[in-house]
Amino acid sequence: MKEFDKTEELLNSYLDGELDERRSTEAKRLIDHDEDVRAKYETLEKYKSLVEALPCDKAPGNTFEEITHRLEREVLWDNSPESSYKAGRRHLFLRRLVTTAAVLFLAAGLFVIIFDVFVPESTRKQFVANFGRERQSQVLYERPFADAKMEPTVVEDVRVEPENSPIVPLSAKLVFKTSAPIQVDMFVGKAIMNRQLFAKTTAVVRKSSSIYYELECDKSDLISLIDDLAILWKKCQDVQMSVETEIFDNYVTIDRISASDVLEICQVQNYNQRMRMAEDISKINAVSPAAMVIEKLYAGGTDIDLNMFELPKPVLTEPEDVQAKTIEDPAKLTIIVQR
Amino acid sequence: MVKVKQEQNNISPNANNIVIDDDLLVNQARAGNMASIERLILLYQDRVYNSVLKICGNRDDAAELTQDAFVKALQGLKNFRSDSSFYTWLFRIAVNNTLSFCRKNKKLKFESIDARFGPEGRKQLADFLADSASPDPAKIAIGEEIAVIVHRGLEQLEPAQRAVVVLRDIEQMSYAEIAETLDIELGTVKSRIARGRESLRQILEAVLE
Repeated sequence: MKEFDKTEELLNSYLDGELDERRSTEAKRLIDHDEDVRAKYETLEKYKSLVEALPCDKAPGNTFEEITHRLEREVLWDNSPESSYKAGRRHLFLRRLVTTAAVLFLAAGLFVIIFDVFVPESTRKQFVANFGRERQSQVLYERPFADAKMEPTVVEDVRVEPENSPIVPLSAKLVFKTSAPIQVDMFVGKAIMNRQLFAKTTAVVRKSSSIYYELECDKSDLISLIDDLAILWKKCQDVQMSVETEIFDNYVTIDRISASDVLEICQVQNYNQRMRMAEDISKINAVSPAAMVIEKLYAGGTDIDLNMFELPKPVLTEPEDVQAKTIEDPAKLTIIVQR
Repeated sequence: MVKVKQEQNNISPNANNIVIDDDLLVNQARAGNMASIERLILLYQDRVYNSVLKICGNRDDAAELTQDAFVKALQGLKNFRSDSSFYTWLFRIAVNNTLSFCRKNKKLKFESIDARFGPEGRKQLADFLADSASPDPAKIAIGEEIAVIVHRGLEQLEPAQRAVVVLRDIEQMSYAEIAETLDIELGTVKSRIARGRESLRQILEAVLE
């Protein structure tokens, strides 16, 4: 510290009466014997007295009221640092809770999206149907009294509801195998034109031995068209129908299908029922040639009723309103005329 | 016991002719006694306001800072340990608040000291300083113009120096109390007082030139 600063501090402390007796005597001796120090001390005294003489300012008249109002507000709003800390913790907890809920909600949404995109619809429905259903464990045990007469259980008739099935629009191929392909082709084209379905014909492919018509239209239009084409069955050696299953490019093929069967299959709304009907007709038609052979064997004057070899066609037991629903359904049909 | 220092500064709080035990008031205030809270406020509001005004230099800010100091002090009464007096504790809050305020509002510089003073004030100040008689603070009655000049001179000081000069020469605190109030070393108090007074002298002499 500079000597000057030391003297300054000493003089100021002496002026303020902050020195002990020894230091005070020392300062006094310094002031008495040194002109410069004395002048300095007197100047300090003057300036100190100037500041001390400044008028005192009183607090505004409303200070007390303002303070008490603020204190009341603080108490009412509980704005003390302690309560602010607690409020802060509560706020933090709430924020964490909301964040967790939001994350869970997003995760659930993501799961639903992934489930919807990657899992087949039938599996989804099965999963949803089985979700929450408790599996009942099967208890296997020996009947304690084997000879005891069991009370007959009355089985009541239960209405069989159509099972849930995925909504799969009809997609089928209809193959006309004929020796007069030109006539059949002309008739098919004319029928399409008459039904004003040419605009809904997405492709017409003509090859050397076959002609393809690909139609995408309402099922009602399709049924009308097939109704018009019924006359072609007489011109064909065979008519084959392939009904597409839920799996891409997988078909149930029916040989020697009649026009009425085609119409029936087309009218079925329920996918499972449609496929079951197609499979049944396919199996029946596969058996029919054997019945024709037997028919020929007994053709010579036997009394056998040949109708007994005709297997009953599957009958649709769907509720009445299903047919009405089919009218607006989209459908896809590929008509193939083959030599 | 609190010696009522207002007598020195001609400040007399309402009903303060009686020497009151600060600790008793503080204990009662801590228990929620509104009368004691009121008494504490009335006892110190002028002194706090006066010191804060001399440090910050603006009446509105001083009123606001005084209220802040009381609210904080009274809210924190439950944390107040009687290691120091309530008076020191209150001033510690008030002065530190004011210094923080000054630091935050550094850009709001006080106006130039010699911008507003006429020759009359300067002459009065020059006569006062030239008077060889030893000044008696109790008998000094400086004119309004000199008071304004000294005010402006104080405002030119660094806030830390201004605070110690105000606490010493206006609030009449001892060096130890200043050190406790500002939470600084005793040596720092001494040096700041010396430097503050020297700076004030230079500033006021510059006005006279």
